[in-house]
Amino acid sequence: MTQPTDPESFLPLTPAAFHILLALADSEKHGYGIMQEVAAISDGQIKLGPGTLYGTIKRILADGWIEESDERPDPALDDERRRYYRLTDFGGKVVRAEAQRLSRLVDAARTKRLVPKTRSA
Amino acid sequence: MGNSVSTSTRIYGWLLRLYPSRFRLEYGNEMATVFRDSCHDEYQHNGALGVIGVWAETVPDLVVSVSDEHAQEDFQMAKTSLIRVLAIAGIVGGALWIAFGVLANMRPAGVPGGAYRATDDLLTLFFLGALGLAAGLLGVYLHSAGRWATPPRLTLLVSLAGVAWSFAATVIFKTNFYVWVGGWFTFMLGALFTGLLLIANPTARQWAALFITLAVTTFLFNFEDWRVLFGVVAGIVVIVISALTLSSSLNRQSGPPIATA
Repeated sequence: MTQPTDPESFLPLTPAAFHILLALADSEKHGYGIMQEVAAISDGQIKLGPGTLYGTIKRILADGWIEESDERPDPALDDERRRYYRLTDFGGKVVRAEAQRLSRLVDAARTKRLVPKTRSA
Repeated sequence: MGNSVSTSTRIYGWLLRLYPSRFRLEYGNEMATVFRDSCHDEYQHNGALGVIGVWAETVPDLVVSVSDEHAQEDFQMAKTSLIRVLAIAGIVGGALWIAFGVLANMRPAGVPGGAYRATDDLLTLFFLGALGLAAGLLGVYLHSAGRWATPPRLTLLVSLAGVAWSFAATVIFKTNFYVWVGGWFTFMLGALFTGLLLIANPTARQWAALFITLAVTTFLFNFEDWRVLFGVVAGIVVIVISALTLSSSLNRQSGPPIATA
């Protein structure tokens, strides 16, 4: 699939898409693994239901941001029927661009004293 | 596993029928597994109350995602139907151009070596064919151009605008010949640049060849002596472009494109 070269053209991402990409940023995961990781990184504030999770997975798969992994875990350790997903190179660029956009917003909020300044080490 | 977990999993499995069938076939088993795992974990930590908590989060998710998926499915189906109608119109348009090319080069019966038939008599065929061409190009734009880079998408739109311009100039507003020529050259240049820009795209090379051929043949069949040859070839190219779109849209019946590793 031909991708536009600029990942920023997709921003801002929906919260569900961003959290799923973020959950897959360091390793491939199955659906329930993504759901648990999203709950963990958002301190339990974001809980993706199965419908939102797989509706978003369907769309970002079609956009080429993630792909299904061929590799299956050891059947003794996990259910080999589960599908595992991982970020594509382009998906990595998209999530990085969104993270930078959010970081700039936090910086702006900090200059307006809406967010406490981080203590320097 | 608690009875509340297995009962909940069965009920959720039944509720999955609310999703569009394609979505359910693709992801239903996974969703049921995720729901079962959530119930199982909550049951381990909080007992039956934990399972009730899972339901409290799942029901709103179910309501919103079922309506989202149906809306997308309906939109996709309407778009696919439109693309098929446009592709069929393109095939008819190509056939009309072939007829135009052949008939315009026939000499009147009993006059060997006589003048070619006056094309004015046949212009209806040409313009209906051009309308079919516009439909076919719009079908390509809606079906395939979304996967192209921006420049060839824009030149395809320019090409489409050129056909609409020449058709409107002649058939609707009955302006002079040069206004028609302006629109026709816009179409041909748009098609030519679409083809040239698509050469760089390895997944769209068949479109590159077709658009370049379309531009060249539609240019050449303006010359009376070559009309039979290039009218027929241009008609065939329009048919092939539209048939590719139709065939690809029919193949999508089985489901949206899913990237696999």
